[in-house]
Parts: sequence; C-alpha cells; structure tokens
Amino acid sequence: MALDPSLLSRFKIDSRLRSNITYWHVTPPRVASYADFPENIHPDLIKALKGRGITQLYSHQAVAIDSVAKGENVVITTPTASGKTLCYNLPVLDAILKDRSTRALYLFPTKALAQDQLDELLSLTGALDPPVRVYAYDGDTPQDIRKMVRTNGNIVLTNPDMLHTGILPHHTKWIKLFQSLRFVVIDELHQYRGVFGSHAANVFRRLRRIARFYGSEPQFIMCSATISNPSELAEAMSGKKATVISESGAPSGERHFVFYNPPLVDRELGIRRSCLLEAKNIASVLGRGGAKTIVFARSRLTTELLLTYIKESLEKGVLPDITVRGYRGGYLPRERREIERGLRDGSVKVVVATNALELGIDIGDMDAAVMAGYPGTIASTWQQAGRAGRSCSPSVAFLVASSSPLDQYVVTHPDYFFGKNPENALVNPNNPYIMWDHVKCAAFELPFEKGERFEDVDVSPALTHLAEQGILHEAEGRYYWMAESFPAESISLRSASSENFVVIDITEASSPRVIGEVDRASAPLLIHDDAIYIHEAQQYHIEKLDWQEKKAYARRVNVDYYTDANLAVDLRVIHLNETNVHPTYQAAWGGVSIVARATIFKKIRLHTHENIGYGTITLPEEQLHTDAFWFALDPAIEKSMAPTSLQSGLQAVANLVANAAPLFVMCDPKDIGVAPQLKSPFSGAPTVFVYETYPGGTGLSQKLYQLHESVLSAAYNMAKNCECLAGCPSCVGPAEEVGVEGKKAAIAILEALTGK
Amino acid sequence: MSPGVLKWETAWLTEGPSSKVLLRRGSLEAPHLGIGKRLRGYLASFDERLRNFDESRLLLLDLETTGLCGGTGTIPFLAGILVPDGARSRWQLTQYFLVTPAGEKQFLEALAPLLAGASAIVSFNGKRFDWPVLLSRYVLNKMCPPVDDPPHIDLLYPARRLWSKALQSVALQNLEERVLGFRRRFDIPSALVPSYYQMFLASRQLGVMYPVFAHNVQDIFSMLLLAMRLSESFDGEYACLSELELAGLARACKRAGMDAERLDCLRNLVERNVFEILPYVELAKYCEHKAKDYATAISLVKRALRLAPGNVELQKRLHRLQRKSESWARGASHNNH
Ligand SMILES: [Zn+2]
Repeated sequence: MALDPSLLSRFKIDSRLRSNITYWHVTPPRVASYADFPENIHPDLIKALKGRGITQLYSHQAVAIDSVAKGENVVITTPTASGKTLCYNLPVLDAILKDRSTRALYLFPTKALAQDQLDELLSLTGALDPPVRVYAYDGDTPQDIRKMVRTNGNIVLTNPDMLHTGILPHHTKWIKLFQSLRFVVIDELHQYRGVFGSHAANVFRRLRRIARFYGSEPQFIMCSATISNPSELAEAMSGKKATVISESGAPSGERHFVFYNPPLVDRELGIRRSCLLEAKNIASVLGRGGAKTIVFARSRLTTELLLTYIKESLEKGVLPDITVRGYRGGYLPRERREIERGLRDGSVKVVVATNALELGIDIGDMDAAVMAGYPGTIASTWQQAGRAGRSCSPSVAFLVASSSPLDQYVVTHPDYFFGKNPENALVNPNNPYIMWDHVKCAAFELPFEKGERFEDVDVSPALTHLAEQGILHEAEGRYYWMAESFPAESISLRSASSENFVVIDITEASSPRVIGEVDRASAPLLIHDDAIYIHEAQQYHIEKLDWQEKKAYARRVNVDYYTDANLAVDLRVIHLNETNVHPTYQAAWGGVSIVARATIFKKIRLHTHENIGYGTITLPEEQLHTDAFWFALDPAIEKSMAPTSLQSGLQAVANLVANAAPLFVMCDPKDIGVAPQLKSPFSGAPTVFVYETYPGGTGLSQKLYQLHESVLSAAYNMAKNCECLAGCPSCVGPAEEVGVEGKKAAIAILEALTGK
Repeated sequence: MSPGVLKWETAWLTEGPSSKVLLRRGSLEAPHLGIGKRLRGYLASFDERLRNFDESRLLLLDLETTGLCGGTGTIPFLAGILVPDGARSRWQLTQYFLVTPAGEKQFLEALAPLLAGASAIVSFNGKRFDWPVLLSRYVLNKMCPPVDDPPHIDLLYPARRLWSKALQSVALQNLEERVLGFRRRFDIPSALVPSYYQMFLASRQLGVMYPVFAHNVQDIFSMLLLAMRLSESFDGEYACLSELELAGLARACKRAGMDAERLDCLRNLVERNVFEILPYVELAKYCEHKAKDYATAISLVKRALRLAPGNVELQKRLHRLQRKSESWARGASHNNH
C-alpha cells in the first residue's frame, strides 16, 4: 500500500498541525538512469546478478565500476538505497572470478553491519561456481575456523578494531591475504571521523605498510553518506586522491520533507512543547491513515517512552490491527528478524527505533519517517529519512525539533539543510597522541628502517625516543621491537566510554541504581559534591563524587534551587599555525595549553534566580594540550560597548559559536569547549577561543578556522532568529548565564564581525 | 634435574655460523624414548603421521623470546634443540643464541636444516606458541619456512589429559614438582626471560644471559623427562599408575577412539575398587551396549550404587538393565522350548 495523498493534506488542513510546520519541501520523483554492464565483466557474475533481478546498472554504478577498472581510488556518496554496495561488490567479485587468488578486505564500522553485508554478499555469491569464499572475521569468529578464513577467504569482512588488534599484529598468518590484496573496501566512510577516524586513518597507514611488505598496493573503494568533504576524508583514509562519485542514477518516488517545530510554551525561557509528544501525535495520524511509519528517537530511553505513547494511542482498540513495535540495539537477532519480517509482510505498521535502523538493515519500504529530534547531522538525517520511500512511491519524512540550539537552527534555516551539504567529517591522522600510538603498533608489526617514513610523516624523532626508552632496539639501521607488551592491545580506536562518570541513585539504600552518565569534562560542573543534578525532571542531590572511581552518589530531593558551577579555564597559546586579518577581527588557529578547574558553585533560587548561597568545589585541575580556533575583536568594537555588556556579549558569542560549530564540523557538542577572554594575553584584545576537548585535536580547529565566516554567520542567525526575549538555551544560553544584556550584545558583536 | 649426564663441548657459547649467532653443543647420556604403540596411537588420533614416525630423527625444541604474547613483534633469541645422537643412549644438545636482532636471518638459516630434517617436533605448548612464532620469523625475513606443518608432539595436550584432574595447573614447573618429582633450584622465572635479553642488548655482557641459557636447558630436560614419563604411562604397566592417572589415560584413550586400551584402564580401575563411580558406569555401558553382558553390567551398576546411594541416574540404569536382562532371559528360554 502506498502513501495516501489525502493523509498528507490533513497536515496542511489541520490548523494546529499546520501552524507548527516551518518548511515543507517536495522533491519531485526521479526516473532511473540506467547503463549496461561493462563488456568485460565475467559472464558468471552477470548471470548471478540477473538471477537476483539485476539486469542492468544505474549510471553511478557504471561510473564507479569504470573508475575502479582504471585503478583509481573511489568514494561513492550517492543517497541511501541507491545500490552503493554493488559499486564495490561487482568489481571485487569480477576480479576474483578472473583470478581466484585475488583477495579483498571489507571494513565496516561495526560487527552488526559486517554481518548484514555478509548475508547480502552470500546471497549473490551463492550462485557462483566454484564458490567465492566470503567470511566475516571478528571477535565472534570461532577459533577453529579462523585459520580457514585466513588462508582461504577471498573476501574478509571485518571492522577496524579487529584489523588493529587481530590482523595486523599477526600479519604473517595472513600472508595469503596480504600477498594478493587487491581491494580494501570502507563502507560508511563518514563515520570515520573524530577520534575514531583519526585512529582508523593510522590503522590504514599500517595496513598499507604491511601490504607493501608483501608486494601489494590495494585499491580503496569507499562509500559515504553525503558530506561536504568526501574527497578530503577519503584521501585521509586511503592515502591518496580518490575520485568522488555523487550523481545518483537510482530512481526515487516523490518525497515530502516536513520541518515541524513544536509550539513555544514559555517564550521567556524559550521552552517548547515536548518533541516526543509532538512526534507521537504525528506518528499516530500517519499510522491511523494506513502509512507504514518508522519513528526515530535519539536514545534507548526515549525509544521506549515513544513506544509506550504510540502504543497507547494506536492500540487502544479503536483500530485493533495497527501493530506497533520497538526496535533498538539491545534486541536479540531473533526479535529483530521477526520485526523485519512483520514490516515486510505488513503485519507491523509502526516501528519505533533508535539509530540501529539508520544503517542498512532490510526492512522493506516504509511510507513515512518521523524523527523525534534532529539526529545531529544532515548526513544521518538523510539516512533516517531515507528509510521511507525507497521504492518509486511517494513518501514523507517529518523532522520534529527539540529545543536544542542545533534543532532550532535546522528547522528555522531550511537553506542550510536542503542546500549543498556543508558538513565536514574531520580527522587528524597526525594528532601526536594518536599517531605515536600507531607508530608503536607499526614498529611491532615490522621493524622500521632508519629514515623510513610513516607514509608522509618523518617518524625518526619518535623512533629515537622509543629506542632510548628500550622499547625499540636499534641495530644495523633498523629498529626492532623489544618490549614485552603487545601495543595494539592497550590502544582503543574509540574514545573510551570508560572515561564517563556514572550517577548512582542511592535513595533506596537497598537497591542503588545507575540513572545516568556524565562525560569527564562536564563532571566537575554537573556532579560535584552538593550539586543539584537534574535527570528526567527529577532533582537529585549529589552526596559524594568519587573522582577515582568515576562515580557520583545521588539522592532524590525536592528543593527550590539549582546549582551553577564555575569552571576557571586558563588557556594559553603555545603555537600559532595560521592567521588572517579581517576588517573587524583577526582569526587564527593553533596549539593551546589549557588548565581547567571547577572552583565554586552558586545556589540559585528557581524562578526568581536570586543567589542564595555558595559552595566550593575541591577537585583536581585538568590539563590539556590541544588545538583551538580563535578570533580577536578589533579595538573599535571594544570601544563601542560598555565593559559589562562586552563581557556578557563575549560569553554569549562563545556559546553561540560552540552551538553553531557542529553545523559545519561533524562533532559532538562535548568535543569542543569555549573560553572567552576579555583581554587575551596572546592577542591583547577581547578574544573568543574555541578549543577541542580531545588532546592533540582531531582536525576541528583547522576546519573551523577555514569556515569561520560561515560559522560566525550561522551564530548570528541563531541569535537573531530566536524568538526568545533575552537569551535561552536554544541560542546564547539562558539569561542567568550570559546576563540580560547577553543576547543583545552578542548580536551587536556578530553584526560587526560579519558585516551584517 | 637432568635425565642423564650432560657434557658441554665448551663451557661458553662460541661463534656459530656467523658472528651474530653464538652456539654451544653438549652431549647427554640418557636413554632414548622408545615411544610405544599406545602413545603413538593416541598421537595419531590428532595427526596420522605420528603413528609411524622415525624416532631417531626426533627434535625437541624450546625457544626463549622477547615477549610472551606472540605476534610479529615477538622475537625468539634463543633456541634449544635436543636430538637423538645416532648411538644408543645419547642425545645432542645445541643452543643457538641471537646476539643481535640484525642477525635473525643467519639464526633462522642455522635452524632450517635441523627443522627440515626432523621426523617430528617435540615441544611443550609449542603448537600454540613456539612454532607459530618461529614460522612467522621466516615469513617476516622473507625466507621460505624450512617446513610448513611438521608432525608436532606437543606434550602439553597428553599431559593435560593425564594430570589436569589431579593438578590445578599443568604448567611445566608444576608438572616437574608434582609428576616428575623435583623442584628447580637457582632458576629464573620464565616471565623474566625477556628482561634478561633487554639487559644483554643494553650491556652486551654475555654473562648476563647465562641464567637464561641454563633455564632453557632445564626446560628441554624437563620436556625429555616428561616425554619419558608419558611414554611409560601409556605403554607401561598400568599397575604403576595412580588411580587418577589411570582415569586420565582412559579419557585420553576415549578421545583417541582407542577402545581396547580404554577398557583395559577401566577394568584396572574397577579391580582397584576406586571410589569414583565413573569407571563402573563406563564399563557397564560397554557391557550393556557392546558386549550385551547384562549380568556383569548389573553387578557394576550395583557397585556404583553402593558408592552413590540414591543416584537417580544409576537407579534408572539398573532398572533398565534388569528389564533387558529379564526379557533376554525370557527370549532365551522361549527359544529353548
Ligand atoms: Zn533564544
């Protein structure tokens, strides 16, 4: 059953719904652009493809296959469900059929994705005779078949973590693979960003180094969601220029994309109606109207909440045949398959999912997608929206905004979303902390020759240093691994979630339970001793923060105040990488050293916001060497403002820039921090520093520097277009934090900076 | 502890095939193993080539390495090799020492003909550690491994079958103390071996390494003693074995599909009136299903029930046997008429 057009018009007619719609975008249907199979493809493969109903290629698949045939590294960025996997499966299988010794390594960011792709690949290779040997190799692979995978696998599907700890340090056991390694496939390339991406880029440097040792120079085929810098990212991963293929030849039905902003309930505080409740209403209308609907929530918890709401709304006996199911990471494979089957055969009408479903899992065609909250990036928003309307029938996606600054910006700036994707997936393979770890791993895998570079990096100082420490032993111009340890084992590619602090509710002494997690950087501010911590609208008093154990013990309370901690950030510029002078400011990026310490906290009465007490915080100070982007204001701006309004204006601008940065660089809000300085020792002028919270930086600062005009302009729009009176969490931050002058001053400063 | 008298040709290591590899040779007066049919049968259940290998070309191997985790960063710097020396009751012991990691090629070249000429490798935990580590060195030095997959007797596995029930750990040192009956003196712990080599590389003082050389010799001797002991246990008089060893041997034979040998062990255990019910039950199963000797099976189960009164499984088994026995008796008497 297709989407009923009258259902869509209900959203246009119903005045309550209609008034909340900020934008309605229609993408007209697109017909397929086909191409024939290239002439020299192995006939067995063409037969197998035809057996699967694939009788010709989409144009982008043909272009990709052609580029691969020319020996180019390739990155394919066409939309979800455009048949990207065939872009790599076809050339790889073709090469194997023509030369049975050919090997390929497929990398997926998670085990589950590799498993899904294995199933798909097997359904294609099943028809080939003699069979092409395809295996998954990960932590779950039984010991007794590992040897077989190593020696026989034509295609090995794995993840970067396994490559890092299980394959590269044991490369001699994989000699057959490395000797004939023709292709490396990296799917979901856009997920290789930040700390994980910076690590992975180094793992691939090691992979190429080992491949070269065995005399092979693999070609990289990569797939990515649409981002602004696919070629930059592909080059960081594959080590050389890659051809970008972005023009899709796949067909698609008419697509409606609706931005929905829940109404303001408190204009002063900028509080809006819950996006969960609004999403529930929309999903219920769609479900009752017979549309197969998928609802995305942002966390496990909200998935369960939404599921309950929607079940109540749809299964209350009025229309008993509407089945609603949840679908999230923790479900068992059997349950997941059952839900997928239900969706395909139509017995399940509405699914509520976390982003487990964002990635390629086969659930058939949906008519509608509802996102409760902005998924955080344009790329994943399109991936979620893409779950609806994979076939040629019309479909609709609703984005329901929460009050967060990012959500508010997106629903009020459709140009940002529907224009050319401005998001950059960034990595810093040369982050010293990350790279030295991998130089160690590489030295373990294969001795470095004196003067040998780690791809383009001169590593001789590191090698000398490691030799001095006795970790390496230098003899006759080579550095031999001499430590007893196995370096890969102690290096995680993912930023350790063990760094998070847990909050434990001890109200019921007999049954303490974990109620939440707080990242390390926020812990001193949110869960210090005597803090009031708010979780799901419940106040908790923090009785004790155990810094060593990373645990905070909390007790449920009902008090009339909240706490606000002050973080003293001492930031010093260590070196300047680039700078340029603009008429009203000077922008720069470079390395900084930061000492941060939570000092005191204020107790502030709810509603009246009067100060009713202080407390001191005694926690160790945190030191950090990292990268930062900053801009120093021209003295003229300084002179035009009163000192107090300049101070609150700077803080407000800093908050805005922090909120706007993730619009352009794909990162988590907690990956960056801000430090406004009224008179910076470095520039001698009022300066706003935006620093990375990961030691050594992951490439965000440099990109923010390059894109700072767009960032400042978005920050300006964020403040200017917000409906609040004097600041709210959706723009500059609440007035209590930035002062009543904050929003106005920020707009004035940003007007001067951007020339608006 | 030595299995015999060891005489070194020179007390110190001397220059070997190149200045980067030192070695020393010694001869050991000790009997050859004489691995019997049963142990060979057991080994052959893992690798058929081990049924009829030439014992005069055995090679006992023990490596000392720069780390214990494996992987391509683990370098073997000392190889102890013991081979039978033509004449009876003599063995030849050779230690190859890598003076600098830069000499690895020569080190591997020196070992290659020995490995290639061996009929089987004997090691302790060498299947999982020493052999893959060594093989990986050949690959890493772009050399062809002298032999890809030689017949390999890893003493750890039969030792585990025989003694793991009795001992908490079947680590070599524990086997020495609990099975072979001696305790090492003046020895360094295996875990410290890598740091001795690091000290040597830093100081270039060969004297630093002697505790490691001695440790390696002791490892090899213990392997030889252990192999002798295993050979005796499998092929010697069962009367010499403890109940636990005999039970272990029965398990080993079961796993290797050696039924006759297994029944021998079980009968021997039953004759000794052990307190463990398993041998009675196992033997009763055999009597019931294979020999169809219900009377003996019933008496075995009854003996087991005396050791474990109220064991439901045993009671069920007894009832079933009694039913079978009666119907068999009826059938027999029926036929007689
Ligand atoms: Zn606002």
